[in-house]
Amino acid sequence: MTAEIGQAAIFLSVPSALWAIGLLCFGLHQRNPNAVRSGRNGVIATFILISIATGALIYGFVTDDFSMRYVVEVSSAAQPLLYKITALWGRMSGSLLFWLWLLTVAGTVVVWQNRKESTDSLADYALIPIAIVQLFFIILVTGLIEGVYNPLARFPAGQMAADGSGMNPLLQTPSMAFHPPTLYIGWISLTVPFAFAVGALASGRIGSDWILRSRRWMLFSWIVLTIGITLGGNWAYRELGWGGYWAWDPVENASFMPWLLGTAYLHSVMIQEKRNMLKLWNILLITLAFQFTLLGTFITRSGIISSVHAFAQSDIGGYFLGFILVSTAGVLGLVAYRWKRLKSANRLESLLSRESAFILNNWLFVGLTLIILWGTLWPIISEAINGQKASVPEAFFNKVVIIPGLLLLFLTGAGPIISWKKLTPNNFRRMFLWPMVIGLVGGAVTWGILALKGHTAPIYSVLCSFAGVFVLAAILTEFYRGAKLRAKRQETSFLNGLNLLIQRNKRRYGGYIIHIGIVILYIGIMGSKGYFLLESDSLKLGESMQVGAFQLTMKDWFQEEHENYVREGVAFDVEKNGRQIGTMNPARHYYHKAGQGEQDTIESAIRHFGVNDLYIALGDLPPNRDASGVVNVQVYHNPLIGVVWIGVAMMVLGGIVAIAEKYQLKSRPLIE
Amino acid sequence: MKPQRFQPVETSCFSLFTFLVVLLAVCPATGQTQTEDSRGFEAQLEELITTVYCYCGCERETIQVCVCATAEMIETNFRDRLNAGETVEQIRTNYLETHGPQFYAVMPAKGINLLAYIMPAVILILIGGVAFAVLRKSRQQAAEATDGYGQATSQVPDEAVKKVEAELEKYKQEN
Repeated sequence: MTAEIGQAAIFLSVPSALWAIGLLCFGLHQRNPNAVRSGRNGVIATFILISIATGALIYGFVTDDFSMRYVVEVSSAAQPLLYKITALWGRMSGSLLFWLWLLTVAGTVVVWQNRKESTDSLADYALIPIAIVQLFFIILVTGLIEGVYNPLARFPAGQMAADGSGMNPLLQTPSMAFHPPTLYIGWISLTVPFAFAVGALASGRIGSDWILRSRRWMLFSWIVLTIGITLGGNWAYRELGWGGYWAWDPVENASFMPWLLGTAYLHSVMIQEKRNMLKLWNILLITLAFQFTLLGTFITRSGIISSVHAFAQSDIGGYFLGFILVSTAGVLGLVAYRWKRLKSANRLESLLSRESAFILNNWLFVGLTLIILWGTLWPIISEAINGQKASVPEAFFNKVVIIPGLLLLFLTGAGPIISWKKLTPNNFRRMFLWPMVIGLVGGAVTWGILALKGHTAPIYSVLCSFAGVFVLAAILTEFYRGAKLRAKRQETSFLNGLNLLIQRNKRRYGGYIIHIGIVILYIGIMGSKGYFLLESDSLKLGESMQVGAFQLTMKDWFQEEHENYVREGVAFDVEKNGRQIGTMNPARHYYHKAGQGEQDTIESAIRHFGVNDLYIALGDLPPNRDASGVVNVQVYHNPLIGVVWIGVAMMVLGGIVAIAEKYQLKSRPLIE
Repeated sequence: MKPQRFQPVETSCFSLFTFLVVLLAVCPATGQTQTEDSRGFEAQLEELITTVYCYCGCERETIQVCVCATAEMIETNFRDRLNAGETVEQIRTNYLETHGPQFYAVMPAKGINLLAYIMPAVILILIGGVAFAVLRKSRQQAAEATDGYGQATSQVPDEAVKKVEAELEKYKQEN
């Protein structure tokens, strides 16, 4: 009965969303407050209905209702409760329902945030595109279109499976319990600034109001996407056994591209706020960022490109592509309609100014996005040209993004210290000279260290160090000067001055903290991607292998029984420079019920040595787990990999500081 | 006073920058060629296992990185064939003919793939060119808009400019 209630709720949400769209359009056009209020209620009703449907599906998982097709496909009786719940996004239909539910949450939050606003507020205009996107997803999950079935559908004629197939074991990890939802939340919260941009175009309020109202949503989206992408990288590092966290997989790229565009947008809106420039660009940029969230889904779900996320493929890519094209055309139509009002009120006074630095930054972010898109789509393009689907290796992306990436790093420091309007020689001397000198010293020291270690021509590492140290020097100088001045004025300590400085302008200094995090991240990437060691060998009990300063000796086989899998592996004695430092236990998990995935997963053993990791992954275990059994062992020494996670944590911290800034919105008169 | 002309030095900077972008973007694309015969057995094996993907189902994992039994079997096969006197190129060609060109983990910058390597630089230059043109136009318009005020601005003494800058900096730090 629960499933039927859920299905009914999904079908009822179609008229509910249509009601919201229709009444909001009518009410705003006719200046009818009652119609607008009713439209807002339509948005809330859609949220309630989709919550009922989502709740019904979760209930189906928790109660092992194996008459439901989706439950059978992604769950099993022995699956732990956490993974029964996370099975909601284990496959296509449930993912779409979950996405839709988050979208309805976002719509309801927008209604709630603007509950005291007049009924012709910008938020009411923004609710229309939100409801349209909701309607698109509702149609997808009704099961009425080809390629995706209703996640609450039962097997025909009262059939019921004895047990479910179980979820893909790769998804049965804590990282995977949080990685997809965080990405979804990030993508969905990006819908709101886009909706405000469309609302601004539709209403003709093309000032900075829509930016101010959607700023927190944008920052929230950025923070959550940062966390989501990192969780994905962390999952890959722990679960896939290849010792890395980023391989430019098409789906990784799909999550990264909206992040890049979102970051560009966060910078360019500052020019609109401060100088009333780039109005058109900001609207186009947020539209692009939103469309890339859908494009990511298209790439993920259509199966047009091979990916480690193959478990998520279906036939719905075409619908997403269609929606992208239609919605882009709609936005461009509105842009054309408002063309004259989108012109900048101010002009650029100098090419050497903060405005120019921001535009340069946008150029690089958008350029990087398009380069990554190009590489991601290259297999299809090459197939269209010569009939052969090329495989784009990780090395290709590393090569083509490194230059724009390093330029962006440099701008991370140059942007905040260059003056608005025009860089004067005085500003240059005062703000740039010492950071540049310190940066050069940093680059030279890196070169020296790497040369001593025998690395030849580490040009990119030296450039990265130069830019990184320059950024740190520039930003820390900003913190130091500001805190010192504030401490002097308030007659307090330097630390109190620093605290006051950040409190006074959380957005600015939160941004600076993010920039510091980015430098740390770059250093981590440089070390872990550029200087890792990999050794592999086939070992028997008692045999050893050497990786850098570490020696690993295969000590014993082990086996542990768990609720829905068996953990089997090998215990290694680890020595560093001849000194015993402990045991590491890499393993494989053999699942009893593994759905559509592999039956077993690689469970790497990772030991941290400061910011460096020793990482062991096992190949397939032999049938004879005794003295004669041979197993393939891969061992990585990943220098500075801990710095990657620290950098991301710093970026998130900066984002949290920045989002805490309170904004004064201009109140508008009520129409009623 | 005439509107300020766009500084030629800025145009030169842009040209130089474009040149650097192209140079740096294209340089890494050029592959290194080595003669196999002069290298040792392990170096040849390493080239093989790092340049083809495993066909076991692990997406985009080279034989070196993939930990599955299939990868181990392929490596043993490569080792045997190298011992038997086959060259790296022969073994790789045979592997790719058997399993498909999509298992080649290297995208050499030649043939159709050259386009893949060139396009990123073209993208950067195109977008950069558009951005530059917009900036330049905007700056020219600003110069025209301030025509007539330029003389007055230029008459402000350096000391006063320095003082205002110092005040601005102080204000910036406070806010």
